[in-house]
Amino acid sequence: MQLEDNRYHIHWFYNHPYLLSTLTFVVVFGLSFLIAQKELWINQEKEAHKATETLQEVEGKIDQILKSSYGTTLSIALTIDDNGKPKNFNAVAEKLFNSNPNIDGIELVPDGVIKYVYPYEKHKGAIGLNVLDYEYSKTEAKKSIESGKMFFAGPLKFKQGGFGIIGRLPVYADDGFWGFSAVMINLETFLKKSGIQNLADEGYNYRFTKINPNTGEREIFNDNNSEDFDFSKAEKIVVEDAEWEIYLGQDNSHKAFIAASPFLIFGLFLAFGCALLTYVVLQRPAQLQRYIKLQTAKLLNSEIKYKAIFQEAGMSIIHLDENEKFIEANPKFLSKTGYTIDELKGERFSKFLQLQDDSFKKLLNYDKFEGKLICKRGLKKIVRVTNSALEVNHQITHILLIEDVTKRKKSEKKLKDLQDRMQMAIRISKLAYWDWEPEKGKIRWSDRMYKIFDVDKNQKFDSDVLSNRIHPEDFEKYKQDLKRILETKEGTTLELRILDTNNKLKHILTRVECETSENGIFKVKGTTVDVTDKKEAMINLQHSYQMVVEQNERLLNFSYIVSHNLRSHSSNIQGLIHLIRDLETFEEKKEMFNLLEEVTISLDETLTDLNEVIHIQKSDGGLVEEITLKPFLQRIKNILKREIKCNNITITENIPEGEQLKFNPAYLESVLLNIISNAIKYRDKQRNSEINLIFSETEEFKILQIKDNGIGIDLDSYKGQIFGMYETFTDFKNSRGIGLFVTNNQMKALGGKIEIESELNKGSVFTLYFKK
Amino acid sequence: MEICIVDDDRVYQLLMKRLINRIDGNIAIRTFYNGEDAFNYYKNNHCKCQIMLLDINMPKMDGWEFLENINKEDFKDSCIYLATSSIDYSDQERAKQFDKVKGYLTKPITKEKILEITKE
Repeated sequence: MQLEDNRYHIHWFYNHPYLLSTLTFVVVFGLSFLIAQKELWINQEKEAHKATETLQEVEGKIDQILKSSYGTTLSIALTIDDNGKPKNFNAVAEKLFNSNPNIDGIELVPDGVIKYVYPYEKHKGAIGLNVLDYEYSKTEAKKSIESGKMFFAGPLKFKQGGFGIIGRLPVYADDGFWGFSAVMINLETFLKKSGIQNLADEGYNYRFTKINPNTGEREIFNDNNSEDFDFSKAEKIVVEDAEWEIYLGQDNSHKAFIAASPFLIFGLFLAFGCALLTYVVLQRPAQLQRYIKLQTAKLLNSEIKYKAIFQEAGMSIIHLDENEKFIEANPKFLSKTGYTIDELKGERFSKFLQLQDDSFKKLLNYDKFEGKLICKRGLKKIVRVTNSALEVNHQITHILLIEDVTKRKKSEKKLKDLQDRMQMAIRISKLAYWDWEPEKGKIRWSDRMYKIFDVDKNQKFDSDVLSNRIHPEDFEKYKQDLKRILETKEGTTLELRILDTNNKLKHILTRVECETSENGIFKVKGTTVDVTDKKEAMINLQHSYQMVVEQNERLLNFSYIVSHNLRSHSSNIQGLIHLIRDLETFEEKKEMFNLLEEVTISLDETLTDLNEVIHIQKSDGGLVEEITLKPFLQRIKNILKREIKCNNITITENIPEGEQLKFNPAYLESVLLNIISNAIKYRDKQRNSEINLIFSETEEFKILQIKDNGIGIDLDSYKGQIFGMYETFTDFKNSRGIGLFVTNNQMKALGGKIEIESELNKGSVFTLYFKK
Repeated sequence: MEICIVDDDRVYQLLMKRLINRIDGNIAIRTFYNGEDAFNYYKNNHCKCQIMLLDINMPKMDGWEFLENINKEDFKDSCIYLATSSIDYSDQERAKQFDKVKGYLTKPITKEKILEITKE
């Protein structure tokens, strides 16, 4: 309580800085005023002392003047002879005048009438004046006669001009009163010589006065007599021989005041300074005090708000003490968990919490944590807890905000699963995605796009980069497709070929979709897949398919051959045997046996042919060798030497020296023999037969053309059958329809092919393609 | 009566000639080695043979082509029998598409078969 009281007093001071600084001002100023007052007194005392001294000095000087004047009048009076006439007045007067600097004139006044004056010129105006009759002087002149002593009249106005005093000494002769011996002193001179003038110069307020003998009124002779003057308080001296009174006033006090004023002014400043200091010193605590008040008000406000939040919040809030025990729980928490506040009070919060991590031993050391909140019926909710410590009166409690994140967690998990699955799908499918804003020319690519297009991710990317990658043959199509998409704004699927930086061909499949957003931004986006593998697989598949189809065709062909050709022989044999049975004569039977032999030979031939065909089709071409074309052809010509010669055939060659082919020599022999012997067999007998052999090559093949001018084949009728088995186009007895069939198969077995151009009666061209 | 044999198999032709002669020596036999010759003869001479034994596999013009050409020319009263060694089912089916084909005979052609078709 003591402390409180003290504090209260201090507060009182803090709260009244104006009052306190005013007080300080008054006290300090009062003190300095007292000091000034004291100083004033001392000064006044000093001044008074000095005035007395000065006055005494003046009195002495006046006395001196009067005495010297007396001397002078007495001296001049001695010049008067027995006849009552002055002797050598001018000379004596001059001597006296010069020796006495206090006087301004000397005169002798026999019988009261001014008769002798010195200096004459100055005072001649007064000659003849009867001072005993003259209004201004008669009273005082009479006074000096009465007293028989020298008396100083005036200050008065001189008849001859000027203003001053006259000291008259009554002179007596034997017969009584003779007249006056007098001196004249100008007032100005008197004031100067007496030191009275100095009083004014030294700043004294003084009065040089006399009671006018004629009027009885006090007359004042000094100049500065305008101020009020308190005669009763003034110090005075009296000159009896002239009835003068000189007063020295007390009003020199202002001087003392001026002397004391610096103290006062200093005191004023000091007081003001102290007051200011006090104010400043007190102002700070006052400000703090005000701040504290404001804070308190805020705190109060916060508390109200806190209470409102606590009670009404849509979020669970609990209040725990240091040991995690419940102090309070808001209604939301209670409704969420199903507990009542009485069930919770005194219980530890961790009892209701299941943490994923056991390391959370001291729960309240953490600002944030997640866990499962165990509700009343064993229901568990995933919650996120935010903990903030609260210190009130050195006691720490905790406010915990509890957020139910069960749903969020579930959806987060769902989202994550979905995302994972999507990413996995994208990863597995190697799907690239992109979007494009045609208006801004903005293109965004996923990482895989860069991989597919073999573009460096850091490279500045624009549509040119894309265009450059597209296979030249597909570029026009790409441009058309792009134009169509931008015009129709409809999605589509594009299949394109691109070339990567190593000029490696890639097939890509792009699914394009168009989208116009709410704010009118048109976007083209889609996915792209590298389908090179699939495409290649498809091409391979097509090849395989073609091969299978071909093989199937061959098989069908073969079975047809079997059913036709072999059966034709067997049916012939059957027919012959039937007939032989019926025939009676030996001759007839013999004829049939001959036929039978013919048939069996044919059958054997057919079987040999088939065997050969099967052999070619089964084998992969056998041994492949480098064959130098020219010597090889020479060998063929040697084999056919007889036919060539007999039929007068001209064979020309247009083949580079040393040109080689990669092929099976046996096959090549068979092929060339077949074609050249065909050319000889089907020559046009109307003209000289010519056979030309011409070599050329392409990127993929070496080509040998065999040109003849024979009878030719009607390709319009037989196009599909030329290379078929047992296809013949003439009535030639030895045409068996097997040669070209075998040739075709031999060429194909080694990756080559054979083509024919022909015109009836003009000739044929067989073109052989050998794979490089 | 005239029987026409269109076949490139010389042995078969000989065989048929003997067989038919043995059945009836009065039957005239005309032979062609391919479809083209047969067709040209028909076209030019309006041959009115009662029976034609037509082979399928022949050079120059095979049996099918012959039938197609016949169809275009609108011959009447033709009694064409396909006589082939083929036992291929597809051939038999194909033969049914031609109205002019009266029957499908599989070689060997026996005496009984000749008798059968000559009776009609």
